[in-house]
Amino acid sequence: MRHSSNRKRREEQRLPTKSKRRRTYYVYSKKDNSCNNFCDGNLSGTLHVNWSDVSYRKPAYKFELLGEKGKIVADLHAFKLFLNYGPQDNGYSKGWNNCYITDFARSVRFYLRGNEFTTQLDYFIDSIMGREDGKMCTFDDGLNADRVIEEIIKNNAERVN
Amino acid sequence: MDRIIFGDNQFFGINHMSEEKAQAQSERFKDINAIIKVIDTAYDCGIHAFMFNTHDRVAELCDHFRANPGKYSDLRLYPSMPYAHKYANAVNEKGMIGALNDFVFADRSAAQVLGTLARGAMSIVSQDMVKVMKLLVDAEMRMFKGLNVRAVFLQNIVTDLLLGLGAKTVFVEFANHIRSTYGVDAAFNSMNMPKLVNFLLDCDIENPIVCSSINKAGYFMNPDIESYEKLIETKPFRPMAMSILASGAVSPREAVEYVARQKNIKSIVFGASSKNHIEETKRMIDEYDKVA
Repeated sequence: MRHSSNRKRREEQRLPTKSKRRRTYYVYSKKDNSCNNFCDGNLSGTLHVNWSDVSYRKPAYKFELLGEKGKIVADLHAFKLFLNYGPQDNGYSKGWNNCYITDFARSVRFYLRGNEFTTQLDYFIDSIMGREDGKMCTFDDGLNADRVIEEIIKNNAERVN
Repeated sequence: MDRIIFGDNQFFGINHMSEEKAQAQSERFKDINAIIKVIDTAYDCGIHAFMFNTHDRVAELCDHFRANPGKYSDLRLYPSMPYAHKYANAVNEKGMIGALNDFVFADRSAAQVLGTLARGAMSIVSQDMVKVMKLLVDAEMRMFKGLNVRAVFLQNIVTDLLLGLGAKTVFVEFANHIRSTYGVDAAFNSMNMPKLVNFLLDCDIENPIVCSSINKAGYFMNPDIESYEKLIETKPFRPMAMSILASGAVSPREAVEYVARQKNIKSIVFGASSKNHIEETKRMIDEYDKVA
């Protein structure tokens, strides 16, 4: 199972993890497949992690966040923002606002199966060297992601036992 | 080197523009006859060169080509290997160590290999890896038996991993093996064209064939578009351009114009699913080449 926890960790690194503490509740899990409901104050949702579904070409991920004023959908190819209202000052408009990967992808000094790994490594180095502020993803965020992973694994173990 | 080579990503649910489109293509091309129909369209339109990943479905296609030698008498293939997802799935099934045992270290356990590494006997491991690499290449090439293969590509995930490791021996041995066994040049897909070309030249692999994303938007060009342009202009190698449309960020006309005006680019790889797109792209490349 060690490899599967590493994979889950990779999946989880892409989560928005700003909340201080997230509770996850077991719904279903079997080996590499895990589905968890969570809630934290006013935030609630479902997290589905799977590394064995061969109908997906991996890595594949998709987030859908539904809020009072709209919705955000993010996947490998695009970020899409749907607004219920027309904001005055930020360049977005009512309805769908789409931003494709080709609009914001940045080249890296070395690309290996995605630019994210080098980007993350360089950001870390630059933050240590004082060239970045290190706030894009903090140790707090990392810890929160680890907690979510831990709960997934715990739930999984309970299910298996 | 063929000027226009037809790629196969669209047949296997790979689309860098949208998940939905990838899904739709995956459904459409579930039927091998749907793939054959598109290939025939390209072939009839004068594109006789195809780059194929060593996907299981390609083995079926190759059976079809062999069964119809008259129809595909001028077929020219550029296999690209390995189809990494095959191995990724093995890792998912058996874990990293299990997959390594299966594919790389054969009958030696990972513990034995790690023990060997710890003792500093790197050369033994390297020799094993080269032997296994040749076995894997031969296994992947089996599906193309009897067909006209023009060059054999190392797929970019593997190329770039080996490049990162600085594995000179593996590159040289791969190139030698392809030349001696299949009588054609080894070629390389990479997302880091400048680094790779300089590395291959350092390895004394002369005039290497390197296929990378080359497009006006600079998309998937690492470290940057300027390094690519300079490299293509000054270094002795055979560049092949893929992703010229940058997943839709560049219009077809601009895309072809950008690539065609760089005279040293030998080939253009593109994939499409509709007759219109195939014909339009082919026509535009021909037009720009005529002007050049």
